[in-house]
Amino acid sequence: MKKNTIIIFASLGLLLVACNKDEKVITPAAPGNEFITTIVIKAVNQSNLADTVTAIWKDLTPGDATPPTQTDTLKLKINTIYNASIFFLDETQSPIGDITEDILARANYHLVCFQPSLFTAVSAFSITATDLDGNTPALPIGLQNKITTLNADFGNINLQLLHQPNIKDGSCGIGSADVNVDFKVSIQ
Amino acid sequence: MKKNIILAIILLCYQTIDAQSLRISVGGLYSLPQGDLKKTEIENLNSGFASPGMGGFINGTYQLKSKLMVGLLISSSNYQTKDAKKIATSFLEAYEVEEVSLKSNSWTISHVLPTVGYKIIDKKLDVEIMALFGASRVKSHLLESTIEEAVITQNEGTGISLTYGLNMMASYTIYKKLSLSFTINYIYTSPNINIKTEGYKNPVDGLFVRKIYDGKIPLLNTGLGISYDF
Repeated sequence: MKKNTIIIFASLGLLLVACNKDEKVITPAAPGNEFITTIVIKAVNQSNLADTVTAIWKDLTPGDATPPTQTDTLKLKINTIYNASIFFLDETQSPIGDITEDILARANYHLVCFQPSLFTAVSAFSITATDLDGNTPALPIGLQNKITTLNADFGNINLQLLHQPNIKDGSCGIGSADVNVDFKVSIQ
Repeated sequence: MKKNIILAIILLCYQTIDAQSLRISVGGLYSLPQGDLKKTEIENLNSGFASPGMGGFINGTYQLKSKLMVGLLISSSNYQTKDAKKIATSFLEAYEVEEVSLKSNSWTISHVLPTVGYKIIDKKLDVEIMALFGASRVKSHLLESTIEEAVITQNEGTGISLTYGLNMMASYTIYKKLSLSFTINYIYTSPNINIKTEGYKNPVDGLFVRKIYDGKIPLLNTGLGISYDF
């Protein structure tokens, strides 16, 4: 009986050795980030494809306090609908890096947001994303857009490329901005 | 045919009544995961990222006449997650974020395996070989990835599957009915585990996110224990 007791306790001890279920936490080092120096807005008049307007914002040293080297005004016609494409470039690379492709490949957590401001009439200018990502349900990306103008006006449009890893839900108030720039808009 | 079956049953009953001994063995296991379970490939969602595990076993064998044996092997082992940094890095790179932390725990695999065997050597050193066939319960590990403001949780899942294998046990009598036993077995199972994944909002390529686990799990176990003959 005594031997049996020893055997039972010994076996229980061995079994307890096997019950280690500690959780572990791992944090790897961060990779390098992308660099965006140039943003291009190319707007094509829906009713006249030859009518193309381009505006460029460029800052080859976006990390420092020096102002951008190019800040074009987006000049649009009144009462017109445009298809507007947005391009992001890294001009510090040779050849020039097309960041737009990277954004498109990872569209599920990127969103381009636009915020018009300073227009006299709120309805003078509107912009709506027309492209969709691969999320379920699909959410806008903002690389392809529809711009609608009404009256002659002047204002600004704030453009942000938002990085929303696994939190993208179509709204602009979340995530961090890869770029945050203002374009002047003239409607004549 | 019917007569043969009845005869076989009578013979089996006779042998059971004429049984020589019952041996119970208990001990610890060192388990080497093989196949998918030990793989650490991000592109293979059946990769188990499992380290060699520790566990325990209870083995009961009932020796019938003519060295024929029947029994039951019950064992359980835990396998900690290894190379978890690879999984965390997949989230880091796929979402282009600066910080990801990954919390993980262990796999647990338990077996209940009826055995049929034969005693090769029956002296102070006993050696027996047993065929195993039964069921395994496989619990997959938890993987919780925190990506800036988001958390993706791949919860623990459980699957029960058929299992088979081969076991060899050598026992050396150290005092009367008490013996020291060494066991080695190779067990194969292939569970189908549904994994409840929470917080996975924006799928992208290159992420290690499972919704199902149906990998092939061979295990090579070695054990050391003590046996007692009743």
